Amino acid sequence: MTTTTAVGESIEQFRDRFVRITREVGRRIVGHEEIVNLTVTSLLAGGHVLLEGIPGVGKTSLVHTLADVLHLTFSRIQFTPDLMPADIVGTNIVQEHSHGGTFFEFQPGPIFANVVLADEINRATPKTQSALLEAMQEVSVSVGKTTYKLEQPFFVMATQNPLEMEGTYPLPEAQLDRFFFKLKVMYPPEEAMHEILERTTRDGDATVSRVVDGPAILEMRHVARSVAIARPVQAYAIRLTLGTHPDSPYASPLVKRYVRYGASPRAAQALVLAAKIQALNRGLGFVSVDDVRAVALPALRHRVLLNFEGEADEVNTDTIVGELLQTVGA
Amino acid sequence: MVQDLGRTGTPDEIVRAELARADRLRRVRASSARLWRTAPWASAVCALVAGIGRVAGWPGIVSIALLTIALGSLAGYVFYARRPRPVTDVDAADLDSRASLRGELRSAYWFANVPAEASAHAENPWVEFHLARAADRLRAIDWSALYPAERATREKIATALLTVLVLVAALFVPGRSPLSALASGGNASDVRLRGSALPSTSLPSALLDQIEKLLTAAEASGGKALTAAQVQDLLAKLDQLKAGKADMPRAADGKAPQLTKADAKALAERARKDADNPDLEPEVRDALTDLANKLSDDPQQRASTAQDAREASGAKDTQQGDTAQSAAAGDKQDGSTQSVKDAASGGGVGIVMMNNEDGAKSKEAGLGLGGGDGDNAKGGSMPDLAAALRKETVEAKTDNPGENVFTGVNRKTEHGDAALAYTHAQPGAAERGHSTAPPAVPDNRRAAVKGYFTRKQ
Repeated sequence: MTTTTAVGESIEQFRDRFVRITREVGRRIVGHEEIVNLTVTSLLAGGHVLLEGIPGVGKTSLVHTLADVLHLTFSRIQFTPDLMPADIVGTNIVQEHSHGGTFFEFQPGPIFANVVLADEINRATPKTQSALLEAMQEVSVSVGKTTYKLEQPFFVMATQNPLEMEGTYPLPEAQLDRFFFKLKVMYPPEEAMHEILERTTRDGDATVSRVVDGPAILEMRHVARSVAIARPVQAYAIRLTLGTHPDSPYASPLVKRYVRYGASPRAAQALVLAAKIQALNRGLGFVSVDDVRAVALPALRHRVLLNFEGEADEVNTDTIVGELLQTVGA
Repeated sequence: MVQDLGRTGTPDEIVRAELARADRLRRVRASSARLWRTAPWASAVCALVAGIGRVAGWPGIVSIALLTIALGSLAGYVFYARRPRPVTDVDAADLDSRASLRGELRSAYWFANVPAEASAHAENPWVEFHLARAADRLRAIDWSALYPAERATREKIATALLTVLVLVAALFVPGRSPLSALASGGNASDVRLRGSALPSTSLPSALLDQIEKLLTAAEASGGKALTAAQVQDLLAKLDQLKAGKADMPRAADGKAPQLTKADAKALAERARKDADNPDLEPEVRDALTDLANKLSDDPQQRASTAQDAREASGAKDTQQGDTAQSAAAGDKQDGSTQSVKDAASGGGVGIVMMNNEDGAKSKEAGLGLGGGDGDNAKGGSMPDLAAALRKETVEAKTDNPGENVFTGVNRKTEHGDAALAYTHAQPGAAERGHSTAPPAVPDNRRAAVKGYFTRKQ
């Protein structure tokens, strides 16, 4: 009885924190409730987010606000073609002792923060991108012969602009796969535009309070992984993942026609983990098929690689995943 | 009982019991819905068949059998659909959706059915919490409200009415072939015979009087006053009545007494008894036999009589060889056999019966000695046969080879007839008929055939 009561309290606490985070972010970010929800989900799952949207829709503001609300260290890296890996991870600098002599001292780069904003990540060279993506995957950086662990929670939010693609270096599929979610930040609706103008054109800025700190985030991550998931629900997540492969029996017609490679097992992990957080966010201690479906689009859309015909026909991977949700039975 | 078990116990037991109960309610409702959607249509089909059967003369047992099969099939389906069976994940998902539990029931049911020792979730407080919460929610659900009993009042009424209609049509509505026909052991041939039977219950009163007088005359004073012509006249009238050509007032018009089946049968028995009277002339006895057959309403007796006639004819052919023509006009083998024999013999009484120079009057052979009657389906009656034999005897005495008998011409004529017989018969059958004996009389008919010929002698 005690254990079940503790579980219930954990769920309530998780939900309460989640709601407080999104509410505080919502005080500054208007019209992107779903993006905020999924971003926090990714943070609590230990993943990283790739935000894609046109300039000026609030991507950077979202990251700033989230860092403020979470009481975490924040750094921003503006990716440019001449950005070097050392500019991200840091470098050894020759220092002089007070008593004479020199020595190498590691100067951490901007990657050493809890929340990192990699702005316009596709404008840097693949070499620099790889440095960031390695840090995202390993949660550590290697400089010289020394490996430095990054502080947890470590959360990277990369943005990229779908326009002005000239002179950019699109992320390879292997590196895209390392992002937990790919979120498309759309233009805010008309009503939200009114709210945005009222908040940003007045004297003074909306202030947000810090509702959660780093240890609380880590605790929430632990709680999220404890949620029970029944085998049929897990099987549904697996079928969805396998359905993105053109030679799979679960593949939809669009997948068979336009997809070259489907999602990796990492996608299934993302589906299940994100579904668990969605369940907790609903105050439940189990995962349902609806939870899996709710996170299928952001978890799968960047893991589906189109073939030549799909690229030529400018097929949207959202359409493919949407059809998959319709065809794969629960 | 299941409900009581579901209200107590551990959370996983409650989940399992509640789900089993809900699944049973769901299947009961689904099967009831399908049942009452189908039952009126099945009953309607049975009623339609019963109606058609009444018109077409089918026995009523057909409708009842169809109704029984339909109702039995539906009952079997209901029994099959409601049988106890384990709840599957699909069932759990359906129940979960129905109760708007958003996946909780489906998930809990899976955890409740996983053996603890084989599960990685054993002693997992999250699973226990999940099951406990699911059990609490399941206890609060009124499954009977979610799956209420199927009312289907209109369907039930329609099914009951149509079923009663089928039974009434099958059991109480008289048809052209009532149920008693099959109940008495009738078969298809009997039904056909019955269809051509004399409408005994609607005989004209004048005809009834004539039959009564004739039978009385046959029974009085040894029947000496009764002539074959009288009986033949009566038979002719009966034939006309059967063909619907008689212009007589019917007994059924209400002015004359109604002739029941029992009356008709009694008259037939009297005629048959009179036909056995040895004091009567053979022609009269045969005519009385025909009268008895026409009056008789017993299909078995009629069929037996017809069968006797056919078999007797066949036996007679065998005995008399080329003297007689085959009575069974449809029996190609017998017919061809006789024709071959006729052609080979080239003379005798059979020659006279075959044909004469007047081809226009030549007709196919009939029953026995009286062939040439022209009616393929019916043999000649005994008076006809006797008259023909007398005529033949006279002609045989008066004709002498030479002046007025053209033997050559006759032979050609006979040969021509024989050739015609060949064309009517299948060559292969004719060859077999020429080389093999006719089929033997069945043992169960042998006594009847013997009695038939004994009586005529």
